[in-house]
Order: sequence, then C-alpha cells, then structure tokens
Amino acid sequence: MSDTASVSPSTPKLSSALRLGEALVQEGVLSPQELQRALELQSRTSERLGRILTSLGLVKRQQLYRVLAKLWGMPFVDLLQTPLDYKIARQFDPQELVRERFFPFARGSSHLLVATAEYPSPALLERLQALVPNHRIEFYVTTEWDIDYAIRQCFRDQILDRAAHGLYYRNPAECAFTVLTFGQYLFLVFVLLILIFGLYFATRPTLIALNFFINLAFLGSILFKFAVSLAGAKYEQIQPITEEEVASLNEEELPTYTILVPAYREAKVIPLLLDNLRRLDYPAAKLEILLLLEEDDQETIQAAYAAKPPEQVTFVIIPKGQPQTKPKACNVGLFFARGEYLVIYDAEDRPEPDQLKKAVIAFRKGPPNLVCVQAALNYFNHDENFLTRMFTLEYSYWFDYMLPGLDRWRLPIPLGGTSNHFRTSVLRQLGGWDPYNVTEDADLGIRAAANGYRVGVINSTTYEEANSQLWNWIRQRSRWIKGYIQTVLVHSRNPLALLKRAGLRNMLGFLMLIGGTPLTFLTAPVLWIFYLLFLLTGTRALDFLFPPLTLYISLFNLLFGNGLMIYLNMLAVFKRRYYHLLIYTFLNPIYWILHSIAAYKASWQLLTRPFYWEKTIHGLSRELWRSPQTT
Amino acid sequence: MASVESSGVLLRPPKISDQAALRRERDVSLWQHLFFSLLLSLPFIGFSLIASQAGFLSNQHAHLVAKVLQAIEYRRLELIGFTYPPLPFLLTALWARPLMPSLIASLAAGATAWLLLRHLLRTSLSPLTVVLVLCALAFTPATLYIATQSLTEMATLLLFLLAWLAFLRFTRYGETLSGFVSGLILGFAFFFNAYALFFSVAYALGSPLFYAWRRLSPRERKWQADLTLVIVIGFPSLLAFLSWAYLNWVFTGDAWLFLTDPTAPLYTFFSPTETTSLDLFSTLAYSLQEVTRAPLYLAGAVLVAVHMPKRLVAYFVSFGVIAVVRMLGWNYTEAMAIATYSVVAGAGIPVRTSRAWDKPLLLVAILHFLLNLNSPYQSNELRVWEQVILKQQVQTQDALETEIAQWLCKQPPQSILADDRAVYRLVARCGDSRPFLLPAEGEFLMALHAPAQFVNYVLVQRQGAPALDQVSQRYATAPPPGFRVGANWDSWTLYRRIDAEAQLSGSGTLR
Repeated sequence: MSDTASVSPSTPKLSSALRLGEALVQEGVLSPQELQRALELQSRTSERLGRILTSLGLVKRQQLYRVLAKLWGMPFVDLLQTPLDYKIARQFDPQELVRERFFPFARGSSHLLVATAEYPSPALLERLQALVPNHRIEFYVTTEWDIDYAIRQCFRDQILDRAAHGLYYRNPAECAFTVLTFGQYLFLVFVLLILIFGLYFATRPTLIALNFFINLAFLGSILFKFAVSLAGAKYEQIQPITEEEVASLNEEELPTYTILVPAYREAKVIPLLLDNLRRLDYPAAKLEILLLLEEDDQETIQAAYAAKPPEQVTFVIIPKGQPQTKPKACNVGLFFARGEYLVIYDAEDRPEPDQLKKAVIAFRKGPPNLVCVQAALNYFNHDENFLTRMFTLEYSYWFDYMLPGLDRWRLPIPLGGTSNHFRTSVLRQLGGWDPYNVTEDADLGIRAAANGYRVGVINSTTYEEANSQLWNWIRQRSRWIKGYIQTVLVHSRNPLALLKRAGLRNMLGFLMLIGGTPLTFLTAPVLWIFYLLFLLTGTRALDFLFPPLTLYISLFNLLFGNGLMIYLNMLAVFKRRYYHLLIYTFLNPIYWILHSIAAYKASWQLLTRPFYWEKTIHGLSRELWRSPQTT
Repeated sequence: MASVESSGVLLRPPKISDQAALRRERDVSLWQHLFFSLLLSLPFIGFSLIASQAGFLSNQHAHLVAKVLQAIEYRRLELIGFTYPPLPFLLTALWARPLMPSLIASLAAGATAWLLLRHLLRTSLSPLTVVLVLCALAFTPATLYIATQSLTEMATLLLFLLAWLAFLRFTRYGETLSGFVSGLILGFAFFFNAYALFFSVAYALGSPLFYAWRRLSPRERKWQADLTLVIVIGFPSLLAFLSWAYLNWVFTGDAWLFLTDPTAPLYTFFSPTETTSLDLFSTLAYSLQEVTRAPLYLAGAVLVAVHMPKRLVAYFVSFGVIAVVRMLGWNYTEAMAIATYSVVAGAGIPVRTSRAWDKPLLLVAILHFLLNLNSPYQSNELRVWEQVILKQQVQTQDALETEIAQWLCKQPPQSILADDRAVYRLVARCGDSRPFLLPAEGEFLMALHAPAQFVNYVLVQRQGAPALDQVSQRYATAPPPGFRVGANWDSWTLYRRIDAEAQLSGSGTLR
C-alpha cells in the first residue's frame, strides 16, 4: 500500500510498447493462456480487457490498476488507506466525479493530488488546472472502487440528501413527501362538508347517490379490466422479442448494464442472489452489479462479504437516514450507476437468463421515448399454499395479460417492484424513484407517462418468492395499496396539468387502474355487508338505496362482474400452463376479502405513518432453497 | 420457444404457421365485416318488409314488442318479471315497433351469411358453387322465416356460429383469447336462447378431444389441462344460467320461473304444446327424417368424414343437442332445426374441400333447396307466413287484429283490463300499452276483483286463452258485475262498463 509520502510521480514506467495484457503477463499476474482467453472474449464483446479480466476473476482489481499505473507511468494510491482532503473534491459535482472516475484527494501549497481510474484526458487536466491555477496537478492511479468509496465518504450527506429529496427539490409536486397539498386539503374538506351536509339535510338522496357512484366505479373497473385483459390476450402469441433476435445479437455492441439489487435484512438470500445473477446471459465485463446494502444492516453486509462475490459486484453502502426505504437505496445506486441501461432485481429474484438482452433489443426496437420495459414477474413457489397459489394466479393474470393489454393500448403501466429496465440517462432526468412513495415503482411508471415517456413490456420473466404467510402478505399488500393511494394523490394534484401532459386516455387509464384499485377494495365490504344483510334477513329496508339504474348496475356487478373477474383470472393459467391452479380461481372472493383488509390497513397507515415502509420478509419459502432446475 | 431454464415452465410456443393462419382469418377489418354483413342482410330486410306490409306479425315478435312497451311505460324491468330471454327484448327496446325485431333478425342473418360466405370462399370450391350453396342454405322457407320472424333464434344461430369459429381457433391454433371469446359468446347466447346451455356443455366437453395440444411438460397432468378447457368453454353459460335463476328467485321467489312460465320462454323452451314427441325412438326417427330434409347437412358430414373424421363428433353436436332436447320433452322447432342444420352445414364444410366436390355439392344444393321449398311445415305460423310471402296477401286474421288494436289504442290510459299473456299481439300492434291495465300494474289485482271501479272495458279471450291469463280465466264466460258484452271479435270479447259511454262505433267489422 502506498501512503501520501510515498506517492511520487516519478514511478518507473513500463515500456510504452507493452499492452495491458502483455504487461500483466510480464508482471506475473496473468498467464499467457488466460490472456488468450480474455482476448478471445474481447474480440467478441469489444469490452475493455481490464474489465474482462476482472469479471472473469483472473485478475484482482487492485492488481490490474497497479499494472495500469506502471503502464501509464503514474503512482498507485489506495484511497482506503490514505487520509483524504475533501475540500477540493467538494468543489466538483459528485456526479461528474462518478462519471469520469477521478477524485482530488490532497492539496499541497504547490500541487494537487488527483486519484483516477481512467487515463486522465487533457480536458480534465485543463479543468483541474483552472481550479487551482498555480498548482501542479499530479495524477495517481486507483481502482474504481476506491473512487466510489472516496466519493461516498466525501459526499455522504449530499448523496443521502439527493437520494431522499432529489425528486422533491426537482419538483415538489411529483413527490409524495407532501401527502396532501393545500388545494387537496381544501378539496377533501369541501367534499366532506358536502357529504355531511347532504347526509344531514337529505340523507336518502345522499346515500342513494353514494351507492350509485360506488356501483358505477365498480362497473367501470370491471369493464376496464375486461377490455384490457382481452386486448392483452389477443397478442398472447405475439412475442415482442423473438429468440432469433436474441440469438442474432452482436455481443460487441452490447452496452454496459447496471443491475441494482437493494437488500435489507436479507443475509440468508445473498448466496442465492449471486447464484441467480451468475446465470444471466450477458457479457460479465459489461455488467455492473451494485448491491445496495443499508449501513445499519451489518448482518447482510457480512453475508455479502462472506459470499465472495465476483469482481463486477460492487457493494454500495447506503448511509443511514430517513426515509429508510428501497427507493432511497435505489436512488443512491442510480447515482453510481454507469450502465447505459439499468435494472432492479430483488435479492431473491430469478430472472430468465436472456432478460437483459431482450431488454436491450426492446429499447433498440422501441421508440425514442421508451424509457422503461417491464419484464413479467411470477413465482417459483406457486404450489406452496393457498396464498402462493392465489398470488401466482394474480401475477400471471397481471403480467401476462393486463400489462401487455395496457402496453397495446398505450396506457400508463404501473411498474412492478422489480425487473424494470430503464434507460439510465432518462431515469435520471425523471428524478429517479420517489423515496416517500411506498410503491415507488408504480409511481415512476405513471410519472414517466405523465412526462411523455412510454413504458413497455418484454416477454421475459423473473421468478420471485410469493408471500406465503398471511400477515406478511397483508403487510405487503397494504403497502402496495397505500402506495397506490399516494400515487393517485401525487398525480392528481393538478388534474388539468396532468390532462394536458398525459392526455385524456392516459389520465383515464391511470385513474381506472391506480385509483380504481384501492377504491374498489375499500368500498367492496360495504356492498358485501348490504348483500349479506339481504341474504340472511331478506330485509327490504335497503331497497331505497337501489333505484332502477343503480339496481341494474349493482346486479350486473354482483352476478356478471364477479363472474367475469373470476373468468378473466382463468386466463392466468394458460400462458404458463398452470392448469392445476384453475380451480383456485373460484376462490377469488376469499382473496378479495384479504385485499379489502389490506386496503383498510393501508388507509389507516396513510393517515398515521404515510412514509412507513412495511418490509416484506423474504426467504420464507421452502422452494427458495431448491435448485432452480428442480422447481 | 421460450423455454425457461430457471423455472422449468414452458411457455406456449407460438407456431409460425398458426400465426399466419390466424392472420389470414383476420385479414378483414371490423368495418368491412359490418359492411358486408349489412349488404348481405338486404334480401332478408326485403322479406321482412314484405311480411310487415302484409300485416304479418309473428307471435315471438309480438310478445317482445308487447313486453318492451310495458317496460317503457313502467320504466322498471323487474316489474314485468325479467322477461326471458332478455337480449331480444333489450334490442327491441331500441325502437318498440313490430318491424324492429324483424330488422335486427335480418341483420343477424346477413352477418351469418357473410361469415358462411367467407368460410366457403376459403375452400377450393368455385365461386358459383359457393354462392349457390349459400343461397340454398339461406333461401329456404324455414331459414327465411327464422331470419326474418324469429329474432331470438336467428341471433342465437349467429352467436353459435361466432362461438364455433372462435372454438376452432382455440382448438386448432391454441389461441387462448378465442377460447375465452367462444365461452363468452356461448354465455351471451344464453340470453337469447336457453339451448345455448346445451351447446355450451357439448362444446365444453368436446374441447379436450379437439384441442391441438403441444407437448406437455412432465409436471403437467392431462386431466387438469382438459378440465381447464372444459371450464373455460362452459363457465360463462353456467354463470349466465345461474345468474338468471338467481334474478328470478330474488324478484319472483321462483328461480326457474323463466323456464316454466308458459309465456316467458318465448314459445320454445318447456313449451309442451309445441313439442313434437317425448318418445325416444320416435324422436330419433323424427329428427333423422328432419335431417334428410337438409341434404347439405349430410353432404357436409361426408366432407368432414373424408377430410377430418375426428371432427365428425363436433359436426353432429347440433343433431345430438336437438335430439336430446326433444327427448327431454322440450321443443326445438322444426324451422329452427332446419336453420341450425343449414348453418352447421355451411360452417362445417372443411376448408380443404377440393374443387372435385364442385359438381356433387352443386347438385346437393339444388336438392336441398327444392326439398325445403316443397316441405309441408308443421308450424301453422310458418305456413301462414309462407302464404303471405308467396301471395303477398293480407290475412284476414292479421287485418282484424290490426283493426282491433287500432281501436283499443284510442282508449284512455288504463281503461282496458286485460292480461298481456293473452293480449300481447294486440298490445304490440297497438304500439302502446298505456290503454291497458295489465298484471305488471300495481292496481291490477284490485281491478281484477272489482273491474267497475277501475276500468271501462274488460278484454277476454273466450277460447284458447293461456292458463295464466287471469282475466280470461275469470270472465271468459260471463261479464264482470256492472259490465255487459260490448263486442265480440273472433275469439275475443270486450265487455263494456254499463255506465261508460258506448264508443264502439269506429268500425263495422268491430261491431
């Protein structure tokens, strides 16, 4: 290790005629056979040799940069062992430091010491010189990890602030930090007053009107889902990305891909995660895997170190601070991401091997405003118990039919929690994820649509762990529903502006899907109680609530609406041939009751703890520990 | 094929040939479908207009119009007992006039003809043969009658055909959407005709036989996959059936009223008076004899047997359902049976049929046409309609009915006590139910007990009144207290309240 004192610009330079590979062989770090293998790979992928060597595990990162230092004729510095002077670095935008991989780490009276992981360009030298005119700029070589470490240390508060409030600073109206704006308060109070006034002075008409609107909302929701899922089914056999397209991809032209894996209290799952990521069919040298670990979660950090991940995996320790949510961690990850495209996976995810390639093709084939493609999510533990079966049916229906239907109709797509692939640059423009929204993914999909971007779907699946425990399921579902309500509140702050930006069609789609979901689950129990009262007592006391039109709509919803929802759910078994699950579609009413319980929990939590992220516990499934081939 | 290594799940593999076939089937836009359907419905509309001009009104359409008029007056569907089947009723509500159901039936017939034409044009038969086969199927008295005077049955046939085409796409190409569409159409058809349930069950049970299974993965069980197909095709019809039973139970207290009420099921279902036979062998013999009057149906069976013998079972589903229905003692009218065979024949001719079959088919088509033209039909109404079309003469009965209706129409609102189970034809011809005090009206029962306090007239049918016609049952033989016979028309008697002004001077005939 070098210290500052030992660092000297007069490091002996290796022969400039030597190339990196030869230098590594000469230094005894690499065997000629290993070099040959790496060069063959390079000819296919056009990736930098250094990245190929580290991704193959043939060379340690530090070894590589030490040799590079010799090649470039510069000294090497280990930033982890060197006292860092942050003053000069703080004069730079940290994003610039990340992008260009340099870090000014010490300043003397006549010189500025700059660590770099790239050969310094004249432009950089010029910029630095302009900053400290009378100083000599001395470059030191270090690893990318060292640079990132230094940046994280130096800009800890700034990174945290950006991750937590970046979206809010950019546009407070797009952030759920403010639960209700003043206008929304006024509107809600106004509606509430009208309701109270109506109930007091005209009880019957008010109740009739309420009942009518509830039934109408149900009808709208049923018809919307019916139409969209049939649209999705229409294109079931059309593969947006074909196997042939994947096979004909030129690996040389593949871009760098960043994979964000937020993991919190998931020490158990870490080894599986690495195993699953290893299966991805994408040149390892072009992968940047950022494992996002929370500072206070030492158990997972220890497990991650113990798992000895490959060189392309980088640990990003998320500074402790509120809100401690997945989107905040993802924003930190986004800050360091260098890939042209970026995807999020949960720790227990099993993406199909060719998913990244399909996403690349989708972006290439898609329009320029395509910001994100969502892969289908499904469950590997679908046969574990009643909950996992129902969950699998729900997800199969949602991702295999509903989302493709929304895609075909060019309606906003609420993203799923994982396996959403982004154009990194556009994601940054959009402000990343909202850390105060507990369904940041759904919110981002809608925000993208509201800003004129498109979200699409790809025919690839990521297999996850379905929640197999009831309380855990209710916690997860209540978070989702709370997030949906947050998303509605955020995007309906200025309905006219939304209408103008997104258009009527998108706005209606958004309201039906994101607004309709919590509304139906919240109001359904009222209708169920009415119905049970009628069935059990035969009372006619409620007849007044059902004037002809309401009665017909209500009957349609009760008989055909529920039946249609069950029938549409049967679609779910076809694409994946889960025929044995078909019989469970008839148990949907029980599943809907659970949704309603979760919806009430979500509403209560929105009032009491709006930003509280109810962590879903993963790693409960027995299936998790079986090999993917056997599940 | 997207084989998923990480999960062991095998996604449905879309075969390129399947996709191409599906694309070919969808090479016509919705607007083109509508245009050609409309074009081909013009002859049927013509026949509807001729019958209407001659004053002909089928019982079914009269019933529909009468119910619609009441619904419009009371603005509550459930007050008139959730008329079954509801969809012809709702369609008629678009314009509650006797011609309306005929127009809609004609449009349905046009759409059916268009779909059959498209299908036949995909064979290698010459265009001339195709057109003649289609004409032979469409222009027989039975099919023309169904196409213009029986909205319920014509719409049912169209829906069966649509369901069949979707069913084929589902079973041949494994297109999930088509399976669901087929199931939904059959479920929808139940609201036109209760027999849809039978067809739905037959298709559902038959789907595993015809489904072109791709390779099943080891963990998949065939019976589960088969059960899935059965449920997907059969569930909507079952849902429709049970839903309607539930509605009947809620609003009438009798879940099966829509099937058992003699007037509710529109003359076919559970209508013993029209039932041909209850005996197993005679039913079969009758049905077989009926089939011989549809030579194209038999020719279709030969072609199916030659080209795709496995599908012969599906081809004969229609025959099986008709026979079973009749064996159960229910009615499947002769005209509807011939029309059903005609549609099945047209849709069943395999696409692979070569031009070598041109001449034989041409001959069979001519035979089909001639046989049907000269067949004596059991249905009196059909025979009358034939006379109206052939001779274009106004029938005395129709003229009288029209005249009575016109007179009744001029009476003040709710001044004539009557039961629409008997007077529906008069209500329909009148075009307004307001002059009548009918069972759907809250005061009806009180008026039935003491007509003098509520109405000026009581209208009864002296002979042949339905058992549920409460007014005729009570007053067919003697006038209610305070009334005397005002007029006798054919089988009708109109009692006039003694103190009411005599207004029966409108027409000599009516006097």
